Amino acid sequence: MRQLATLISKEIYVRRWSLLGFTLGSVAFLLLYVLIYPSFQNESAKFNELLQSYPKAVLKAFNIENLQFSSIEGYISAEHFSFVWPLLAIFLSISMAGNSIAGEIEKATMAITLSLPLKRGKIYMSKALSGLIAIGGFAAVTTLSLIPLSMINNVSLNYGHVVKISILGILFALAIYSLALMFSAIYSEKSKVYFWAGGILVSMYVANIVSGLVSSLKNFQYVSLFHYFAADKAITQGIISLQSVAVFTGLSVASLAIGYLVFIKRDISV
Amino acid sequence: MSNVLNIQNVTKQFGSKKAVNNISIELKSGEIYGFLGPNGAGKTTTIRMVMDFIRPDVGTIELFGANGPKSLAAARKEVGFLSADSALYSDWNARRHIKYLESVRGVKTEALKLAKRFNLDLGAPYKHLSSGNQQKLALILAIMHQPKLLILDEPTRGLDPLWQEEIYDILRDFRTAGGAVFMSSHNLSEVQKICDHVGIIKDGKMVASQTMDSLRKIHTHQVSAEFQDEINIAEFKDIKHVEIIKSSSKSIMANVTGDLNDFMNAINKHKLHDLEVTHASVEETFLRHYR
Repeated sequence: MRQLATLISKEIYVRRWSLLGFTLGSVAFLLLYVLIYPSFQNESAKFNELLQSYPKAVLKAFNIENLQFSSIEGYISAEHFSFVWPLLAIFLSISMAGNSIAGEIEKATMAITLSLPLKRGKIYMSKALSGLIAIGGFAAVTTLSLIPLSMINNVSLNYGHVVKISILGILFALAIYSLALMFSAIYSEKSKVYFWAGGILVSMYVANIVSGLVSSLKNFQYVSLFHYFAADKAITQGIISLQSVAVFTGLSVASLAIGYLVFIKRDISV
Repeated sequence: MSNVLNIQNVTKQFGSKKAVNNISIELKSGEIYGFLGPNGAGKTTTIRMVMDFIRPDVGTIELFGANGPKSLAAARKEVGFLSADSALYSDWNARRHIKYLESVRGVKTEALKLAKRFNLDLGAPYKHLSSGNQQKLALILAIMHQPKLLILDEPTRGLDPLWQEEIYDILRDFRTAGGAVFMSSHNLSEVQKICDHVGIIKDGKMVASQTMDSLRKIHTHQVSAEFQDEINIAEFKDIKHVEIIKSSSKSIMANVTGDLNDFMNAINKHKLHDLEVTHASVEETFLRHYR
């Protein structure tokens, strides 16, 4: 347990600056939206009208079909949780996972840890848990901070819905981290991790958009993680579907298990 | 005495290339084993297998009698390791590296004493250290927990001669205290200076393996003599363990294996103009003996 705790704290320490940067950046975005929302709210009727003029399919394609600019939840969902936040979470998750194993093999620093009296499984566990703590922490802080920010700025907000978007965000980010960590366990170069994890997510994003625009490809939405990341429903209605929870959790568990099996068996030339 | 390291018939293949081909090595406590060979011969691959970074396709590797990934992990408690491409965390200073390893190993170590002996700045980030100081830090991390076995891939690389001598002293002290060292090296003279046993690997195969005492018996000198008068080359041909490389009416160049005295006595019968005696390297000696 002592060894695991040391390995986890070392992992988080090594990645502390990128973690802090992404977290502060994301919170800064939230602050910005909370600050400008009161002036935006006065014009919300026009924006809602504009939104209604878009084809339903387009709104569905971008997961913003339930948006209402008349509430801060709807506004934040459209401005932040539909695009900026997932993007930040994806960049941070893939970057952390890529650096965690493949990056350490590439730089040969993995030799330090491998030469210690540690089983491979424990090393992998430390990589997985540190990422889950860091990414989970990022997702929690960058969503839940909406509560104090709105309090400070006297903006009324449904706290229960914020907790829901927080849960959904944590599950989404952890699924992406787990997927990327699996590739990191397979490959010895970060670039290959970025290629595969990034490539799969871009394909999923495209699949989600195409499924909303082309009715014959409607079922494509189910292969996309973005379909299950229904941020607007979570923050405006407080709804998280069981399907989303099952998909994110299932992908996380399966990816982590495959990564574990690969990592304990593979050759690591450092 | 049981072996601290036992490599038996180990083969490792990458694609169609056999990086290591059926090698066997045994190392006991209180011994220093020098592992020699040209670049790409299979030294680092062997060391990686000993450390369980990569696994052999065939054969077994035992550390303190343990084999298999789980047992080897536990056995590494008693192992200190220095990688040839040792890369530490660039933003960390020596103190943080030491603390990290102490914390994982769960021991308080001699690191600060060693850092003082090595005159190493503990506060400077690794990336700001000279290559010699980086090597010193890597070495401190390998030996600070007083392991029973040191596995060192080119331990004196990047160090100036004075510090190299310091490392030799440390390794000699380590051996005297009962520790065992398995080290690869390009530096043949350092192997001659400190090793008890030498193995040569070439194209993945062990070309030779000898104790240093046996090596001394087959150690070769190259002797070049120029004479003032003409000589009869036949009087040198019958001397045992002499291989004449080149000769003329007034000169001779020969490899002499083992005892030099008979050959030198024959030379002394003539008036010399010039004489040069050089040591053949360990590798040359081995290769000549085993070809």
